[in-house]
Amino acid sequence: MRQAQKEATRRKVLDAARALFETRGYEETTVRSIAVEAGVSVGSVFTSFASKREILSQVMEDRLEALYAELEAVAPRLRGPTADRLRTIFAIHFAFETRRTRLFLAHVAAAYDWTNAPSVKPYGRNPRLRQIVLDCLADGVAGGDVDARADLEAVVDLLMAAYAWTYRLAAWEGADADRMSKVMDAQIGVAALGFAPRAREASPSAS
Amino acid sequence: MKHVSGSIQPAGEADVRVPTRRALAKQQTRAKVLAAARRLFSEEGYEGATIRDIAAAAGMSTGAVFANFADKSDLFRDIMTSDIAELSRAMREAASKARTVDEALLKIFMAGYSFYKSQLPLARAAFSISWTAEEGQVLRCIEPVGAQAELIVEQLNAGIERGELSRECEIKLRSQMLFDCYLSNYPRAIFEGWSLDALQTRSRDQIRVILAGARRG
Repeated sequence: MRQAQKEATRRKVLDAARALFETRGYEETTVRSIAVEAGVSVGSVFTSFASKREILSQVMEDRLEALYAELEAVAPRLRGPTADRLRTIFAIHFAFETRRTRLFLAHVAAAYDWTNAPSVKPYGRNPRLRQIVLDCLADGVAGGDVDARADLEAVVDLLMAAYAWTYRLAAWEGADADRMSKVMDAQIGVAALGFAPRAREASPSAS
Repeated sequence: MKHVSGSIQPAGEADVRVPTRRALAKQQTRAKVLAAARRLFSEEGYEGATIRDIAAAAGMSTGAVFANFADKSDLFRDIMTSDIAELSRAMREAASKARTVDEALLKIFMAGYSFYKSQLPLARAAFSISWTAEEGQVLRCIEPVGAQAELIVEQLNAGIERGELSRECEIKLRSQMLFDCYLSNYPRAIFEGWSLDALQTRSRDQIRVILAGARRG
């Protein structure tokens, strides 16, 4: 009974927080206003969550759950060259995330926050997208358009860098999903030349 | 590597005239505030450090801080500008000793990682605010940041001149990717404690991938 009540409170807090973060913005939303919106006391917010950051990270995790579930279902069924499959994966991401750009950017900025408790899971520490991209590259190795000797982890890092930093277009220039996808497509094209079997044979050792 | 406090000294004060006592006092105040701010930004992060705390740490009033700096973002920008200017010089110096474009780029990356190795919390603060619309804009427009991006472009151009890279190598796109890649490895150092060696290995691979399609022949 007590456990059920606690879970109900937690749910109410998360629903209220999601609504407020999206309408007012993360920075402008206080824990007090979340409590008011949820119809609970400030004290009971803190029995479920240690901080506003932790609420944000849970809100994002719930949101991203839907995205990752979709991607994990879609990605293995994609056909065609690895570069195109990667483009599709990232385009789905941008389309999903730019529906709530401000919230997403707050989530990204929070990754660098000082006061993060271990329970906070900020942006970039979620391994699921990495795994989806890694699997896509591994399929490419099997299919013959990704060099078997390529350091796939390094390629994933490179793609994740391109992906993450493309968000600056949203933060600074208000870019939409289409524009970000175009920029990302070009970057994937460059990376693809780097992981293609032929290109690697032709490239001299850089060490 | 120079100790970071060296960059707190105002640059371009080679004037032979002895500064007035008043000017000297102002200069000392600025330096004191900057040193305190650097420490607090490193310990508390950008959001966590308040002007009031910075003033207290510097042993002066908030009013005295505001007499020298418009606001917190002005303070942070001042610190970042002098640091990045110093780093840009180190990068240019490192790149000038390289023989190939891969080597030059790797030296530029490593100059950055080495520079910030001893002050990762400050790098972390910079990354955190760079994601916000207003402050991020301010940081991006710091002039030496443009100089670093330009330095990467120069290496690609030099690579073309030496015949290592094709003339149609999409310099703008590749240099942007290289710069993003350089920046994106910082979280590895900040959060995962990667060593300089690990960063170097990863960077070398990434540079190779980005340049692969640009090689001549």
